[in-house]
Amino acid sequence: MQTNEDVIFSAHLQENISHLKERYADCFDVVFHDFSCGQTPAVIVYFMGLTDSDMINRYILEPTLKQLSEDGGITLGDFCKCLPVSSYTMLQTMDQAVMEIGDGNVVLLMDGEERAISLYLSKWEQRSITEPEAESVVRGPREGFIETLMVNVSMIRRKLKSPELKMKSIRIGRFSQTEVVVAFVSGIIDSSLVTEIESRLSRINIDGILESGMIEELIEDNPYSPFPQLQTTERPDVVAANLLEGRAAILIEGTPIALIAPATIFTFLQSPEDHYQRYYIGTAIRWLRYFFAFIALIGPSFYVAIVTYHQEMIPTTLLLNMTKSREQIPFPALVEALLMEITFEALREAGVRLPKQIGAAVSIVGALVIGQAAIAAGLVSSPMVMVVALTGIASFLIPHFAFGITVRLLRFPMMLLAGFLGFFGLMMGITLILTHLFALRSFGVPYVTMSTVSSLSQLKDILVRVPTWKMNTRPRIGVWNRYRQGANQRPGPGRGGRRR
Amino acid sequence: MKSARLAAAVLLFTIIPLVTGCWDRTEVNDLALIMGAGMDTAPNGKVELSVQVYTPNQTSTSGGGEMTNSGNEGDMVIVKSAVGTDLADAAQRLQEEMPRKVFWGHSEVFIVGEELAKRGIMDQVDFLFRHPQPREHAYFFISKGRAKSILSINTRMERDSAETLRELTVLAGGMGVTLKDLGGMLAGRSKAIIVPLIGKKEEAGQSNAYPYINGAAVLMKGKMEGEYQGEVKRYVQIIRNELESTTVTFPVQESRGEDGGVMSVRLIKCHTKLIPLIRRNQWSVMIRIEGEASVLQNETHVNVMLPQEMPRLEQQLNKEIESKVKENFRKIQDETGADVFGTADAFWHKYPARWTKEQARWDEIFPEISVYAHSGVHIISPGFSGKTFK
Repeated sequence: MQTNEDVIFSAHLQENISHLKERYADCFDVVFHDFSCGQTPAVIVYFMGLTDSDMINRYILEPTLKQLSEDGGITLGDFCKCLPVSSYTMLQTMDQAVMEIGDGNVVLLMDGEERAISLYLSKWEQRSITEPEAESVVRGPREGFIETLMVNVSMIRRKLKSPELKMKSIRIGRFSQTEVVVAFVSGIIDSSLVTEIESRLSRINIDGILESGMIEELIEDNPYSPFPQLQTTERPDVVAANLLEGRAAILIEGTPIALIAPATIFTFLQSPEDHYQRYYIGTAIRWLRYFFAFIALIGPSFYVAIVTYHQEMIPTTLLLNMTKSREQIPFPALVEALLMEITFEALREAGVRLPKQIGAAVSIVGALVIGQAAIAAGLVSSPMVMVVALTGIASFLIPHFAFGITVRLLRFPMMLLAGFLGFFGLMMGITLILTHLFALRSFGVPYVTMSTVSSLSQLKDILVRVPTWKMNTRPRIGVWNRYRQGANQRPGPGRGGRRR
Repeated sequence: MKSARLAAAVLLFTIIPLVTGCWDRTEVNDLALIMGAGMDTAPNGKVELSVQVYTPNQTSTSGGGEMTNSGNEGDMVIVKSAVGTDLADAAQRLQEEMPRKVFWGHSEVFIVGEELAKRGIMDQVDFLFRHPQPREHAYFFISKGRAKSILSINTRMERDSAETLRELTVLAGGMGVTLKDLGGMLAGRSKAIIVPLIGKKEEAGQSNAYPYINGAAVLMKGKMEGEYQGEVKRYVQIIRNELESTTVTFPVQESRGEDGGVMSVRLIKCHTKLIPLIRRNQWSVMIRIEGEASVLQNETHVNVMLPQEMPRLEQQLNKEIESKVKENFRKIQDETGADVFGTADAFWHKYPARWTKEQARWDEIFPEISVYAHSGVHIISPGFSGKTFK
C-alpha cells in the first residue's frame, strides 16, 4: 500500500468509488452502500465484521432518510453536524480512507465533496477481561490485558489519570498496519528514551506484527543474546508501576502482552506481588528466587562436576550412598544428567502444548519417567533424579517465563562444560555468562544495573524490598526525576491520626 | 563482520572443551574409596600399607535405590595391604591389585603402627603431605600393636573402625591430631610430637572388639619415645591449651581439719598460657590456667550453695591443678625430654635473639627448665542440685 501513489479525493463520487472498489477488488467483506442525502448521492464504505451495522442503521441511515429527505443539496460539513455520532475525522486522501476502513470505521463519501468523513462505529467481538494466566498473584489486581489495544490503553489510563501519561501511536507492518502505542509519563521518563524507542520502532519495516515478541526482536539492543532485553507483562498494574519508575511501555494491537523498556536482569526476578505483600516477605521471597535462579542455572552441572571430578568435595557419608546408587548405572554422570534434563524439558513442553485434559496424563507419565521407575530401570541414580527435580522447581521459581527458559537453555552448555572440564569448565561458563550480562544493555541502560551504580540506594528494590514508605527515590534510568514521594512517609504513633 | 567474529568465538569455546574430552573423568563407581589407612613395618626395612576400602553393598541398590541398612554393616569395608620399599611404592602395588582407582580424598584416619613409629615416621608422612589427595583434616594416630589389626576390627556401632576413630577424636577431650597439626608440629621449633595412641579392646565373652584412644604417644624427631595414659595425656592437653573442658577431682580438707572426701568439678572455658622467663642462665616457664568450673559431684559435707565456702574450695581446687600440671610437666621432661607443650615457641616469642642462639641446645635446655604453675579457676555454679546429701 505504501508503494502506491496516494490519491486525493476528487469531487466526483463515482471516480472515488471506482478507485476504492479497485483497491478492494476481491474483498467480499467490504460493503459499498449507496444512498442519497437529500438530493446528493452518497456512499458509505465499511467492513462487514468490523462495524456495528445496527449503529449504521440507527445513526447514519435513519436520520439521513428522515430529516434530510426534503432538503436540497447539503454539504458534508453540515451533514456531520446533524449526525448523532460522537467522533469522526475528515479525510483528504484515499490512503487515509483505506486505513480508516481497515480499522473498522465507516467512511462516508458524498458527491461533490473533495473529502470524506470517517465515523467511529467500529465494533467487533473481543475477549472479556480475565485474570492474567502467566502472571497470577495471590494479592493484587486480577485484571489482565486483552487483544484489543483500546481496552488495554483504557486499563492503564484508569490507573494513571494524569494528563502526564502520554500515549503515542504508530502503525507498523506493511500489510498488518498494526497500531503500536508507546506509553510513558512525561516528567518522569528521560525524554531521550522515548525518542530512542520511537526511532527504533519507526525503522521496522516488515509485513506484519502479530505479537509483541516480533517487535521485541526488532528493537532489542543485542539480537544475539539469549537473554530477554525487554520486560513483558500482561498486567496493567505492572505497566503502571513501571511507567511511574520512568520506564516506557509498548502496547501492541492484537496481543495482551505489553513490552516494558528498559529492563534489567532484576526485573525478571521480581514479581508484582513483591510490592503488594509485606516487605519482609517480599525480601525473603526475592532472595529465595535469586538463590533458586542460580540453582536452575548450575544445579545439574555442579552435580556432574562434583561426581565426575571432585569427589573429595562430597561429605563422606553422602559419597558412600552415592557410590551405592551409582553402582549399577551404565552411563557417565554427564550422559545421565543430559538424559534426565532433556526428558524433563520434553515433558514440560508436552505439558504446555497439550490440552488441559491430556496434560494430566503427561504429568502422570512424567512422574514415572523421571521418578522411581527410571531408578528401578537402572537408567539413572536417585541423587540425579533429585537434582533434576530440584532444578526443575528452581527454574519455575523465576517469575518471567522468557527469562526462565533462557536459564533452562543455558543449563545445557553449562552441563557440557562441567562434564568435560569439571569446576574449571563450570567457572568458565559462569564467567562467560557474567561477562555477557555485564556487557549487555537494554535501551542503553546496563542490564546488570549494579555494575554502574555505586549508590546503595539503587539496591533498595533489588537486594531487598524496602518498605514503601522508605522507597523515596525512583530507580535511576538516564535523566533522573529523583523523588517519587514526599519525605517522612513512615506511619506510626503520632504521625497523622490521633489514635495511639 | 561482527557476527562472523561472534560465530568464531562461539565455535572456539565449543571446540575447546570438546577436544579435551573427558580424559580425567572418574565416576564415583570407578573409585576405591579409602576410608582409613595404616602403615606398619615389614621385613627387610620395607613398609606395609594397609587400607580400608569401602565396598558398596551391591544388593541394597536393587530395590529402587532405597538404602536398606542391615544391622551389621561391618562387611561394607574390606582391608587390603601391600608391601613396598616406601609408602608410595606400596600404594602403587596396592593400586595394581585393585580394579578401581584408589582414592585417598575421603580417608579420615591414618594410623602408624607402634613398631614403625619407633623406627621413625618422618619418611612416611612425607607421602601423605606430598600426595594431592589425602586431606589435611584427616586424623593421625599411632596404634599399640600393628595398625592393620586396628583397621581390621569389625565395629558394630559405627560404619567402620576408621569412622569410629574419627568420632572418638571429635568428642570433647578426644585429642585429635590432624595431618595439618602434625605438619605444624613436625616443622615446629621443638621437634616433638604428641599424637593419640589407639588400642584395641575386646569385651570378654563376645566377639566384640573396638578401637579406643588409650593415651598419647610422644615422638622426638619423628621417632616414638614414650607413651602416656590417662591423666598425663589430659594434663598435656591442658598445658597445650587444647582442652576447653575437662573434669578434675580434688580432695577437700574440711575446715575442722579432718579429711572431707573428694569433690569433682567440670572445668569450662579453660584457657592456658605459657609464660617463659630467662633469668641469668636459668630458663623457667610459668603455666597460667584460667577458667570456670561447675560442681559435678560432691562427696563432702561442704554446702556448695554457700558463697562463703567458695574461696576455700577454689583454693584447694587450684592447688590440685597446679600440682598436677607441674607433676606431669616434669614427668615428660624427665622421661622423654620431648617438648610437647609448645614451650619452645613460647621462648622464641619472648626471647627471639636468645632462642636463635641457643636453638641447637634446646634438647639439653628443655629437661632443665624449671616449671611453675598458677591456676585461677573459679567455681561459678553448684550444679543443678542445691542439696548436700551428707
